[in-house]
Amino acid sequence: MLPDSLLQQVETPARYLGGEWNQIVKPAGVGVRMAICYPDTYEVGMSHAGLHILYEVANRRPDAACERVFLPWTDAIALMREHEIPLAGLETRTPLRDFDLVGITLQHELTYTNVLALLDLSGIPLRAADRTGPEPLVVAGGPCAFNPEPMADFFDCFVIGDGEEALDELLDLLADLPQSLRRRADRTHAQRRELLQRIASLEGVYVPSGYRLRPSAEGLLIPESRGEQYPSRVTRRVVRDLDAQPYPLAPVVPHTDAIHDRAEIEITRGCTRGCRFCQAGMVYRPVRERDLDLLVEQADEIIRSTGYDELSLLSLNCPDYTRIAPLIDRLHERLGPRRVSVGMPSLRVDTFSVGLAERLQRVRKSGLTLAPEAGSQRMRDIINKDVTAEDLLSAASAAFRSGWQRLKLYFMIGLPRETDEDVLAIADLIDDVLAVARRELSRAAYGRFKLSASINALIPKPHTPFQWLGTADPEDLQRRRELLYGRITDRRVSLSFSDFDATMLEAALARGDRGLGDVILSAYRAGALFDGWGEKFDAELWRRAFADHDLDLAECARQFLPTSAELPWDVIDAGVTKTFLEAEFGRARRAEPTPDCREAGCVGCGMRRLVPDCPPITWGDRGEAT
Amino acid sequence: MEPLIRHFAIVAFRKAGPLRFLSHLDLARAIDRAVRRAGLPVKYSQGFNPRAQIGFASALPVGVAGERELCQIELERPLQAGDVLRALSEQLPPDLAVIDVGVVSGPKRKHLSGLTRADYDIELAPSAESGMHVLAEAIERLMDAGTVTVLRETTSRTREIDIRPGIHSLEVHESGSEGVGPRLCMSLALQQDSLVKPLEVVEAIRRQLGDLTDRRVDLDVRRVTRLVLH
Repeated sequence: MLPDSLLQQVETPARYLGGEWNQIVKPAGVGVRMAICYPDTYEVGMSHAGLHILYEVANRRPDAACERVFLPWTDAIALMREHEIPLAGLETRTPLRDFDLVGITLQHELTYTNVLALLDLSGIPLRAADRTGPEPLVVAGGPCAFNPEPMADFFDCFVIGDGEEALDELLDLLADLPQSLRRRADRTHAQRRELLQRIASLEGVYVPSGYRLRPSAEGLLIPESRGEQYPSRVTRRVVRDLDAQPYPLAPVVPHTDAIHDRAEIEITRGCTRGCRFCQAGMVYRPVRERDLDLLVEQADEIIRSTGYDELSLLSLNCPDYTRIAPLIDRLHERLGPRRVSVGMPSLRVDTFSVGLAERLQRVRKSGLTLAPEAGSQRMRDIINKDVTAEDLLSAASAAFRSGWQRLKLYFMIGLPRETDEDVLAIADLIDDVLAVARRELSRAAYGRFKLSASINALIPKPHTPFQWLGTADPEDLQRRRELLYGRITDRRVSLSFSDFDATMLEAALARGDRGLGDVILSAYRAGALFDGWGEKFDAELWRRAFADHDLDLAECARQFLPTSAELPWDVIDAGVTKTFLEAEFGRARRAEPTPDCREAGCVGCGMRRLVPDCPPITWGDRGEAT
Repeated sequence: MEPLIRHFAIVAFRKAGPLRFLSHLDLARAIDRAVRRAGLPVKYSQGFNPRAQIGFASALPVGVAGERELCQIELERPLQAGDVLRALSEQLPPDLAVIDVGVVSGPKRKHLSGLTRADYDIELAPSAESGMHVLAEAIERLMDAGTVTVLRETTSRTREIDIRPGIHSLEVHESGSEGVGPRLCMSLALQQDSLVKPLEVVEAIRRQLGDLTDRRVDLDVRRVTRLVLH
């Protein structure tokens, strides 16, 4: 993409080379050419399992070719602009604007300006309405597609939910187009519209141009179908059988230090623990598992084809895999002799999980991370986090006895009905963990002991029981931060807080309507980019972008909506019904728990409409846990 | 006590094409993964974080190509050179191709530490061709000088160092073909205490040129290649 003379001038040129081990290069002339884009740096994007999965889904087809595209860092962007070099695929250096399909994953809201930069650097008109002929179809996917409205102006369509089968169907459609629609070069505006209408008929695909906007009682813009070709609600795609899905057994090995530079096997998808703040736990139901034998074979093959020395188990909640202990043992048995370490990123707060972690890390004891999420039991009941202080302390105790000397805890503040006492309970809990550490660790080890607490403000997300809530008042958040800094003085404890300005922006974008498209474009034009990268984030610039369109960023973030309100994302049927979410919201207010359906049977979340035998996994027949 | 016998494969490979832009760390990781894919019985270090025992003769800077770089791989048991060559070749891309492999067994732990010199070839932009005469004179003066100081930056400080003792030879050659600039060929010290970097030599030549002539002679570096390690 960049000529040698420019590669010499940029930071980490390895990001721009392509040609990695296991890269797939298809010959010119292959039917449908697709680019899969991650709107962040190479190191971040190459760490995303979904990108590798969709690369496999497309490239295993003889009639499709898929290339990777990442957003260059700011130094390379400046050089590309100066020398008028368009953004191109890593595999064949084909400019992005020459692909048939440009897929961009929306993993979180603070990448929205990066999406515009991807299009801009490719010379693709930013607004879908301005793409009137031969331009590629620009498709979104990922968790943020569950509220497509803020980015709806910029995409031709959104794929909602699991991408494997939906992408296959989209590629089928493009590969089998009638002659009149197939040729991209001389496609007319009318032909492009006809193509989009056909795409709208695919299940789980939302085509924003097929919806007109109507203001709701609360002043939100609500999309409404323009005609019967466009379903009144788009139903999320659910892959029923993970074992039947393609999985990359020879994934591309990044040239340079990716964030997660390791082999990964996806052991489960979805989570039904039911934490009320968690969007993934609502929109990826039900829990589906891969077969244990298949996973062991997949792991073996990926290690063989990549040479990685580390394998990570991918899941929203690894310990919940019904046969997690045998899986770990089998992986050790198979991969241990080849010196492959096996890790899992997510642990539950209980001794069972710590026992698993112990199994995984027989030698090296790096840090252990646990997420009690809230300090007081009342708050944990409100968010439906099925963990007690007792659980945390016995998990910590087990961890220290097993030799861990570093612990990381995740907490949230700004939760509904939270008081100062609830926040101070975080400090109490940390004190209790320190007391456990003092008791369990040797004097020397306690001297070295490090506890880091990461504290984030709640960001209410669409399709969760908290979707009607705004964020807490930023001043309250600041005050509560000071409260914690005042109370926690032990030098072993380090506190880190999320940037509350970034929190407010993420919240405003998460629950936004289509009116935010103009705001995002204004912010991009004013220079917003890499907003998720702390040092690049400019809160004042964003406040001005909102103000330019007569909106107040903080008000958008804090807006409380009645449960009767029509919501911009009601056009998406995520599987979990609004009735269920409202009932959960009520139970949150009464601090009532809701059990996991794998244990207690169906809780009526609405998934049975999409998956008749839901929940497919139950714990009734769960083997001996250890 | 009998000395411990260790088994090594000494691998010569290239770092070429776009992959010359890999950092040394990225290159080391690429070789490590290729060794693992090849299933070679590589020896691991002891301790909490066992590492494959693969050592490199000398790190190449980002962007510098290598015609014949060297690494040593310690093996659990002796292997035939041809087998290592075959297994590793299948697992490396053409831009990191294996050139040859030697195997050695004995008590020695470090087989690449005796290297003292490296030869470099620097391709300049074609515009330098017009200044060949003065370029040759600048090089002559530089080689005749008792000391040649350059500034070397490390992460902590910048200091002046004399690179003249580390320049074993330095010549300029016309490329002879249209559109390709002249090349600087040099042999530079590799040991820690007298190490010279090729671009430091270019900088020193630039300074000499400034003293010699008012005419601008472009010394735009197109490509730096390390040819061989001695």
